[in-house]
Order: sequence, then C-alpha cells, then structure tokens
Amino acid sequence: MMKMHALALLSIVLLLGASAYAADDGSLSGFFNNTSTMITGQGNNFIDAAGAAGQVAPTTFSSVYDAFGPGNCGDYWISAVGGASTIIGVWYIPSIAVVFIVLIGLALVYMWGQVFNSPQMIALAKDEFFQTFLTVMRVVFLIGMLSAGEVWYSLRATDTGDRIYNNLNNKNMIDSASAFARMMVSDMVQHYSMLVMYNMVIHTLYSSTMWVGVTWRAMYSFNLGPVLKPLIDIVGSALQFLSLGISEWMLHIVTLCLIKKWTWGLFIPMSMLLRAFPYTRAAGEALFALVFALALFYPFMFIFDYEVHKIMKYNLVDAQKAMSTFLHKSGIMSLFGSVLVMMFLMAGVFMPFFLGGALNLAFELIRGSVYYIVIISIFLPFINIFVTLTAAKEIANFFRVDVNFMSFLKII
Amino acid sequence: MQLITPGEIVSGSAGLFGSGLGLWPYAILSGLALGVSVVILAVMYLWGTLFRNAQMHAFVKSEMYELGITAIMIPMIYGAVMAMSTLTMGSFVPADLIPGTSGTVVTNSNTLIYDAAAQFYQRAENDMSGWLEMNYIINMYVDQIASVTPYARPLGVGLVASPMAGLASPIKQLLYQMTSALALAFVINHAQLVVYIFSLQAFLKYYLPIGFFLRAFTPTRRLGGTIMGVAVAFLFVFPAISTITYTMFYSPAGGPLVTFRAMLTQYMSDGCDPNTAPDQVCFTGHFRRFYSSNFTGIGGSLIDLIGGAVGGLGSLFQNLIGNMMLMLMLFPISVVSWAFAIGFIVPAFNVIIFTQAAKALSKSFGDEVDVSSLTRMI
Repeated sequence: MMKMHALALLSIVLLLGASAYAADDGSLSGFFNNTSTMITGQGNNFIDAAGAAGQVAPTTFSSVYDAFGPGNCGDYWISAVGGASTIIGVWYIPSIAVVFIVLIGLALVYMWGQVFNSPQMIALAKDEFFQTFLTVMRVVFLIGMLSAGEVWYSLRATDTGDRIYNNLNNKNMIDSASAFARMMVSDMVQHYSMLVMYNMVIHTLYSSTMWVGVTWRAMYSFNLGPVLKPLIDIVGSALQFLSLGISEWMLHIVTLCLIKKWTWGLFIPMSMLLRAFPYTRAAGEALFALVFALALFYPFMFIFDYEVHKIMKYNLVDAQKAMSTFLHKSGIMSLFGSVLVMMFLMAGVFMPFFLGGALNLAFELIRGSVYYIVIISIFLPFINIFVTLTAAKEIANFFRVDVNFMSFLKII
Repeated sequence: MQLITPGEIVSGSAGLFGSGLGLWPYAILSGLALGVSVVILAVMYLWGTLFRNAQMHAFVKSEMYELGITAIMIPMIYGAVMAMSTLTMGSFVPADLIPGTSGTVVTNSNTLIYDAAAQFYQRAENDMSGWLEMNYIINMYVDQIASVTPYARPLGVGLVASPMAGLASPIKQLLYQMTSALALAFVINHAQLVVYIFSLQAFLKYYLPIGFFLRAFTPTRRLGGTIMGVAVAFLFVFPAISTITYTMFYSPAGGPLVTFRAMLTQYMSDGCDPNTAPDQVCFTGHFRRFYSSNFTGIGGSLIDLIGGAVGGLGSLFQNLIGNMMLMLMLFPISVVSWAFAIGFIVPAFNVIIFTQAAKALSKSFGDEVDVSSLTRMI
C-alpha cells in the first residue's frame, strides 16, 4: 500500500515537472504568425506586382506566386513600353506583306479578267478587294473599340484611391483584370491556409487517443473522433472546392496573360493573314470574333467582378484575425498534454471550447469558403465566360460566320 | 518503339517505296488513282462509240475536263506540301519566338515546321511527365508527414495523435487531383500528337489519292473534294496552329509556361539549400533535411508536445513544414491550372480554328462537311 502511495506521489511530481518544463505554448502561435505573415506578404506583393515577378520575368523565385506574376506579360500590350515596335516588327510587317501579295495577285486576276474579257474574274477580283478592305476596317474597328474601352477605364478609375486602379503597374484594363485575378488567388490562398491551420488543430484532437492512468497496467483511453468527424468532413470539402477555385483563378491569370501577350502580337495578325485567303477566310473571321470578345469583353467582366467583390467582401470575416484569436485566446495552447486530457474528460471544459470557439470559427471560415467557391469561382466566371462567348458568337454572326463557341461553356 | 516523325513522313523516308523519294510515292499513288479513272472513262468512251451514244460521249468529255482539273490539283497540293516540308522555324516565326532546346527536343531556326508541331506535343508531354514525377516525390514527403504519430503520455497520462495529418490530408487531396487532371491532360496532349502523325501519314498516303480518285466522277465528286479539303486542313492548318501554340507557350521571349518551368527547375534543383541560400525557397533542401538531421528537432518538439499539448506542435510543424507550406499547397494547384491550359483551353481554341478552315476548304473543293461538330469533342 505504501508503495502505491509512493508511486502516485512520484507520478504527480513528474507531471508537475512536465508542466514546469514550461510547455512551449508559443511555438504553434509562432508558426501561425510566421506562416500567415509570409502568406500575407507574398500575397500582397503578388497582387501589387511588386515582387520578383513584377514587370519583368523573374530569374530566382522566392514564392510559387512568382510564376504567375505579370512577369513576361507585363510589357506586351500595344501601349506598353517597347511593345508596339516589337509587335510591328515581328508580326505586322509579315502580315501586311502577305496582304500586299494578295492585293498584287488580285490586281493580276483583275487585269487577266480585263484582257480575256471575263466578267467572272473581274467580279472575283473586286470581291476580294472588298474583302481585303473589310479586313483593314475590322482591325481599325477593333483598335477603336479597345481605345474607347481604355479611355472609359482611365476616366472611371483615375484617383479613386483604389488599390488596383491606382497601382501604376496596372496601365490598362487588362492589367487591372489580371490584378483582380491575382487578388482572388491570394485571398483564396489565405482562406485556404487558415482552413488548413484550423484543420491541423482540430485534426490533432480528432486523431488523438487520450490516455489516463497511473500505470501501464490500469489505463483508460478515449477519443473525440465521432464528435469531430462532421466538422472534419465539412472543412475537408471546403478545402477541396477551394483548391479548385484557386486553380481556376490561376487559369484566369494564365488566360489573361496569353490574351495580353498575344492579341496584338499574334492573334490579330494571324486573323488578318487567315482572312486574306478565301479558303481560310472563315477561320480568320472566327479568330477575329474571338479576339474581339477576349480583348474587350473578358477583361471588362473582371472589372465588373471586382466592383461586385468590393461590396460583397464586407460580409466576410477576416479569416486570419479569426484564426489568430482562436489560437491565442482559446487557451488550448497554454495547457500541457496531461491536463488537456483530464480536462477533456469533463464536458464542462470541452463544451465551451468546442461550441464557443472551434465550431463558431469553423462556420465563419466555411461561410467565407462558400462565398469564394460559389460566387467567385462558379457564378461570376460563368457570367464572364457566358458574356464573352455570347459576344464572340454575335460578332461572328455579324461577320456571317457560324462558329460553335458555346462548346467552350462545357469547360465550365 | 517510337512514333515516326513528321519529317520522315513528308520526306517519304517512312513511305511505301523506301527512303529518298520525297513525296513522289504519294503523288504516284494519286496518279495511279487518276489513271484508274482514265481507264474507266476510256471504257465508257468505247462503250459510247460502240453503241453510238452521243450523250455518253459528251458525259465522258465533261468528266475528262474535271479529271484534268483534278490532275492539276495533284502537283499543286503535293507541291505545296513539299514547299511546306522545307519551311523552317526561322522562316515561319520571328527569331525571338523560336522555343529553343530542352532535353532531347531540339527546336532551332532550322527545325522544319512539320517537326516543330510534333515537338510542341512532345515537349508538353515531357513537362507533364516531369510534373507527375514531382507529384510522386512530394506525395511521398507529404505522406510521411501525415503519418507522423507522436506518443506523448508520460506516466500513462497524455495523448497519442497524428497532428500533421490535418495539414497533410488536404494537400494529399490536391496531389490526387493533380494526378487526375494531369493524366487527362496528358492523354489529350498525346492524342493530339498521335492524330497529327496519323493525319500526315494517312492523308498523304491514303485519303488524298482516294479523294483525287473520287473527285474524278460526278456522283462522288463532292465526296472526293470534301476529303481533299479536310486533308489540306490537316496538312497545312493543323501543323501551323500547333507551331504557333508552341511559340506561345515555350518561346524564350516569355511564354508564361517558361516562367513556370524556370520556377520548377529552381525549386526542384539540387543546388538550392535553405541553409546556404535562405532567400530561395526550394523543395530538395527541405527534403534532404527531413531525412538527415531533423529528427533531433522532432525529438525536441515531442518534449514540447508533452509540455504543451497543442502549443508544442508548433515546433513539429516548423521543423517539418516551415516556409514550405505555401509551396506545398500551391504546387499541385498551379500544376492543375497549367494542365488545364495546355490540355483543354488551347486545344479548344485550335479545334475552332481548324474546324472553320476545314469547313471552308471542304466547301471549296467539294461539298461542305459538318466538321464543326468536331467542336463537340471539347
């Protein structure tokens, strides 16, 4: 009996010793603070295009974000420094040369028609002259429309004090559209990170088998798996969908980059080229229609989304602050393991922690995730793509080409 | 066994009659098809003469005219293919946009357009294979992190948990999604390569001769013309748009994929060590450290875990994940978005341009074929 008492006393002393070891309760909060600061900082650089991937292609990378920054897409637009001369040098001159060759060919056909008195050939040459004129008019119209869009954007956005509009790196509407796409990626990554952190804490309790006993021969164990499983499941689902949302917005960044980089440098000259020949005229028309829609409507829809988001975001809780409060004020980090186990044995401790902190935070984070998934990643992109493709289809109809752009909707 | 290259097909070295004959074997086949048409028309003419049928004579004469037109088309189309088969990247795209060399795929100003088009798909395939391999390496790391199970119950009171599983499980889900998306994109990309090789071989060797033959007769003229139109689209438009896509993604002047590739190279390279180059984030340094000296850190964090149940976990996370969290999360997500761009978005654009060209060409040569239904493949 005396031996048992001595053993119990020794156990208590050792347990107190363990708590006196001064539980490193700051390490998780340190990890949280470091990680959230890093994610926020890199996200801000990413949105503002201020990091390594600012306006030039990076050579060393400090963040995965850098691969999706403006980088190589920064300087390629008709008004960007150095862009116009490169574009005219590499693509427009060959395209115009081809158009001239076609015109010379048509002149020969016309002369041939006159010499041999063939009204068919003369009509063909005239029709082709008219088509070449239409090609030029289409480019002029596109330039006019894009210029009008840029003027509207500059009038609308100047001196608004807005983070995106007032950023000097965002020179054109498409730059702002890209910045908004980067903002969405950054916001969703922050939200995703907080959910992962939360999942980490809850999963620790979920997966724990807690042991109570004095010796290894007489022990009692329990776990909180069943009660926490619904929470783990819903957080897991939110994480899964959020990851798809992030992936989708990265794809928007890539698409905007491709549009910005290649509209003037490739798509328009290629449309001119394809349209110059009767056999490929329909392909040229289809490409023209697509370029119209992608260069004008697609970026504009992102500006529209940004305005929507600016209003809607006030309904969301700041995920980082909420998570920080939970970690620092729930008290869970200040407890040493043995006491935590014994406290969880008592519902009076577990319930306030669970209902008052963990569950509330979970629903706040999930509310944010639903917004980013349903509104930002499904509803708004659907409208964007639908409007863009409808515009492309209508423009193609106006050009009298039947193109099934709606197949793209299946991608959604 | 390797796929034959487009260069081999158009140069005739992979053809029916041995190497060094260029497109002549294909042109001869087409000529033979027309020869058969001439024989049939000659028989019809004899038949008309035998039975003194003026109507049949007139019919044969009009068919002979169409035959002549078709015969002119043979040197025109094969001549154009021959001309395109000598067209190099240096003459087709500006020098700044030529993708350059990567591994065994060499693209320079002397590369033929037909080969460059195939190289785009091969290079995308190589990239995707690399990403899949990277996926497995990261998965191994993440799996090990997920299964770390500290036993923290001194004197029987405490807990046994898998704290890292909460962080690693969503990342494992991402890696799984990445594998699925990549596998699909890989299949689509490879399918395009195979379709391209098949179309060069099949349209040059079989469909074009059949098209010429069918175009020689009134009842099958439209069908023959349509086949010829689709063949021309496959022989000219498909390689051209594939080559242009290649320059868009892989040109050193800065396709966005190049930036992504550069980032992966840095992150996965052996030269990057967080101990010596703390500003650079890379995976291999952490991976190496995880296996060498980090277990002492984990041991220390176990004591923390006993001391502070949840608070102590921070050391464990710091030692195992550290500043890798963003990278581990974003790697698979960004790879999925790239796989989608290369495997879905760009092929969709190309299909639209290709179908419009094929539609117009088939209409010009014969009858309009509803190739726009090909967009349903999207």
